[in-house]
Amino acid sequence: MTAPQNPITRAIWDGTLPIKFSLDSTEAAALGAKAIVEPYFIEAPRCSYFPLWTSQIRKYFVDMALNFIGDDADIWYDVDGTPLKWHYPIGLLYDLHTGYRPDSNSPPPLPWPVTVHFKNFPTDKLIRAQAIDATQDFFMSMIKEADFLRNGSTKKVMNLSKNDQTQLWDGLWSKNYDRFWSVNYRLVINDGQMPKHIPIRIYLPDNCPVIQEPISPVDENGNQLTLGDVLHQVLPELFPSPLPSENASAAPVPVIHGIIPQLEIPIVWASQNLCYPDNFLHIVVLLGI
Amino acid sequence: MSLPDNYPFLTRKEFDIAAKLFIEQSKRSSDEEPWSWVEHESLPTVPASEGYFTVDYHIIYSTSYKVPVLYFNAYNSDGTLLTNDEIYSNLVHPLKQNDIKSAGFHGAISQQDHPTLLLPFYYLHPCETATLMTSIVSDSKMNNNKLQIISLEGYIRSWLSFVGPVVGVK
Repeated sequence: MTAPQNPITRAIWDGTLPIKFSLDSTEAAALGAKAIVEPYFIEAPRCSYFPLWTSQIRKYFVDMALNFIGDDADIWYDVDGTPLKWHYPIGLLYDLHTGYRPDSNSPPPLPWPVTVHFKNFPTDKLIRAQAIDATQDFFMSMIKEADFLRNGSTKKVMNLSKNDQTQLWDGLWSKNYDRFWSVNYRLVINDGQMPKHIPIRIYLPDNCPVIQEPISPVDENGNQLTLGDVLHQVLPELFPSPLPSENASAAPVPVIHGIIPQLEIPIVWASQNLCYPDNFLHIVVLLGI
Repeated sequence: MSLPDNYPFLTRKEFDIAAKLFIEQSKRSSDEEPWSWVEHESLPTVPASEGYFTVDYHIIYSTSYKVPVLYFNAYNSDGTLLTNDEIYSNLVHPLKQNDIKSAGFHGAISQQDHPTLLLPFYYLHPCETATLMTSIVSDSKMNNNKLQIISLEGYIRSWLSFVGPVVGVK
């Protein structure tokens, strides 16, 4: 089955962020780097995960004479002292940690400065990474959870052939849109059935617990809910109305993939077109400027 | 006796009721550490004495899977976390270790962000819990052609008696 030619899912798939990886300077000295080590730049897909880039990043710094012989799993990243959750998609981490509002007058903070660490993995703050296998496990776990939310069971995902299940992950890490979406399309379109619940996670600043509640896509009368309806339902203090506020810059906004989606879009449409490869809508809510 | 509307799944309200009933039962029982209810606050870790380690068990409602989930973490007396290998060798029953390690992300002990503390905790994946709770009752006798289901009073205790011992809950 060929992947649907959807310009929106394609644009989201192709979205990238320039990231500047620098060594922690005290570690650099301890690991034998003799001179200042130049940072390493990657144009990282927003839909990807940091562990998928670790061996490439490691190779660069080791080639620059860093004496590191540990596991890829010992390597971790931080931004401004906050360890980055490697099981979150890169684009989500950027939206969340920079708190950058696309409707502001200033340009986005790019390249994104990220510090690479080769020691002192913070086991109290970060889930231990078994590098790529753990990332794949998490990814498939999210896809199963999305299926469960949509259908009340994980039958659809579990009934995919082993080949198809592997193709989802392979398509993601090899950045092959057709490979990924030819399988994912079936999960997301759900045979045209209205999902029971929408797979959605909402992130607030300041390390708030992530909001993940079962959200029905329709109201009691069967009318489709919009993104604004959902935000109003989940965060009524921040979104007192499902409609956009008069004073746009002072109002909180949802941000996903670095854009502010319109509140009027139906939530089912958003779920099918704006989701991350793990099938979830990961929406960051940023407060007013 | 209150029954879940949609056994084996629980609504959040049903979970609240079941959990509080479970806590009352555990307080009355003399042979176990009593459980307590904590409403989303940050939890202090009670330091263990030298040579011991502490295990914190949390029973948390999964909004996605609509069942309880067992989260846990183990700390040395100096407050550092036990490693993955130490968890297996100290908490998991020796006969079950291989099964769990090879179960993949379904049955294995894996880590996840604690839903309110946002720190890494070990947990038992909930995707098989509904199947487990269904199989518990389908083994019991049919009563006038109506399948017995577990009440809210007994839900947590039954569930925990299956998943708990796997990771050291007695």
